Amino acid sequence: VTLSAHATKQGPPQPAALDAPRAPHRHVRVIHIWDTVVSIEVRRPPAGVDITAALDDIAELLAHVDRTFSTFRPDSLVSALRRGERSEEEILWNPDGTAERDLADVLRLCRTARILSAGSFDPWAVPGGFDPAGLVKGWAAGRAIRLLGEHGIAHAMVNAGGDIATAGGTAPGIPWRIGIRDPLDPASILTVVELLDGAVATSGTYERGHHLHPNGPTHATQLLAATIVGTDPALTDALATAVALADRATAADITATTGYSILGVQTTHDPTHPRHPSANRTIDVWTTGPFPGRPLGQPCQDRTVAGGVPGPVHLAAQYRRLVA
Amino acid sequence: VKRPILFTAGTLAGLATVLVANASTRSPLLPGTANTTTTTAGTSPPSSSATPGVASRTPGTPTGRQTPGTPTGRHASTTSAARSAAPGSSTRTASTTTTATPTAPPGPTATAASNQAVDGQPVTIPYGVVQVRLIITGHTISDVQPLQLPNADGHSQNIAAMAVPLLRQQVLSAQSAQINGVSGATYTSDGYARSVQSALDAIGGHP
Repeated sequence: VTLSAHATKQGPPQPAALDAPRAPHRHVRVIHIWDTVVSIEVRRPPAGVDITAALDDIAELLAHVDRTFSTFRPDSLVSALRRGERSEEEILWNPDGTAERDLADVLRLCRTARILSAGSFDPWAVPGGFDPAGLVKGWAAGRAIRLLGEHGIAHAMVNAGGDIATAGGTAPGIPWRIGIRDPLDPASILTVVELLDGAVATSGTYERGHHLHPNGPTHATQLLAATIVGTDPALTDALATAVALADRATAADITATTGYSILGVQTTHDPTHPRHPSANRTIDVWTTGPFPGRPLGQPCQDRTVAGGVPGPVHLAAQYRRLVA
Repeated sequence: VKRPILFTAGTLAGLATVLVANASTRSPLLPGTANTTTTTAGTSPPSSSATPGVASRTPGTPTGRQTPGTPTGRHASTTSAARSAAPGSSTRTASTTTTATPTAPPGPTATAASNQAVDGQPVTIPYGVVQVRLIITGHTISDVQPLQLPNADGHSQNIAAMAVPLLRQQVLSAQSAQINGVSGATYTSDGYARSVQSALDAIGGHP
């Protein structure tokens, strides 16, 4: 996501309105920040925990992340780094204060993600200099989970604009259920991932208005979306970005080195087709590693086979058949 | 043909989100609380504002069902078009039909059997004015019903008639999949308003 200057822009009525829990054990807060939206859900806080104070702390954490990492703020630490006023080594080896320690953490994770993705994720290779936006959202979600833990909250989920970190399940032993959005249909869920503690991140070309081939049909195959299920939220976010920019082979390599599972949705078309490329395309869903996707019932009812519940592989076949 | 309809459905879903949030600002979704209407969901069409199934509306509450000058006949025709386009939805609604006592004392938890209707504020979109009613059973939305839809011309009516079932499907499928959140490519604030995640947030997540 692009970090923007709209740090504390609050959306219309959501935050205050949604703090009123529908059930005593469930609390939701929605924070508009970084030109996207962060949803925080807390379950079963222990008695005596000031849930409002905890969620306020998360809001402050997110604002701090924006102040530190935004490339749109001239006064951010990352902006100073990009202008060459601060050196990376200085921040890595001699950080002073919370912001610099956080940036050092992000710098190390960016280096790790660059290696794990064989250079596909490279925040140093973008115009204008170092830009960690592809990793910071997941990193912030992970930090938010940790901060909630420090408040004594063991069951929480943070969804930072589509990149999710979870802790503790919704109750002891009951996983969070994360729907993976169908890149071709905002109202549909492709599959469901169950997580106690972990991270899910999706990167794709569909949400921010990119066309499949802005410069014409140069590739026969293009990823529409890549979803990674992992443990570290920051690396999961960065590697999802990497796979969406790369291909299935990169995904297989990342699964081999990290043990993270990856689900991809890609489109293949015939560039020689006389009409618009999308007129003759097929959609494929693939996974690397044992993707913990659950079969779908209701939302993709038209994609399930009567009498059987399909796993990801079968789901892929049906998806291809129905979309093509 | 598909794209504008999806956009319209998404816009409505975003509206539904805001409407739910607004409703919860005014009052928590508890039985017998002012501003919610305890009703028998599915048996009273949205346009039948005078039927006995609707009770205990707080006077002075700005609800579009009583908006002056709204042609009720238009409601009925548009609504029936929407319903016929979504044959499964009426079954779902009927299965949750239960009557709760309007005078039930508010408590910390709502009984799962009680249905409440929460009317959103009328909202103007490029196609016209939209207003929806959410039927809430326990802590979840069991149905989304149109109260007021764009009716300026036949084209808008057609779009609305197809959009409302999609909106209903979007809100309800988020619940029926029993998911707590949705992972997708980074959305803008605008995209969030059209997302299933926003519907989940509006209802406080899946239990």
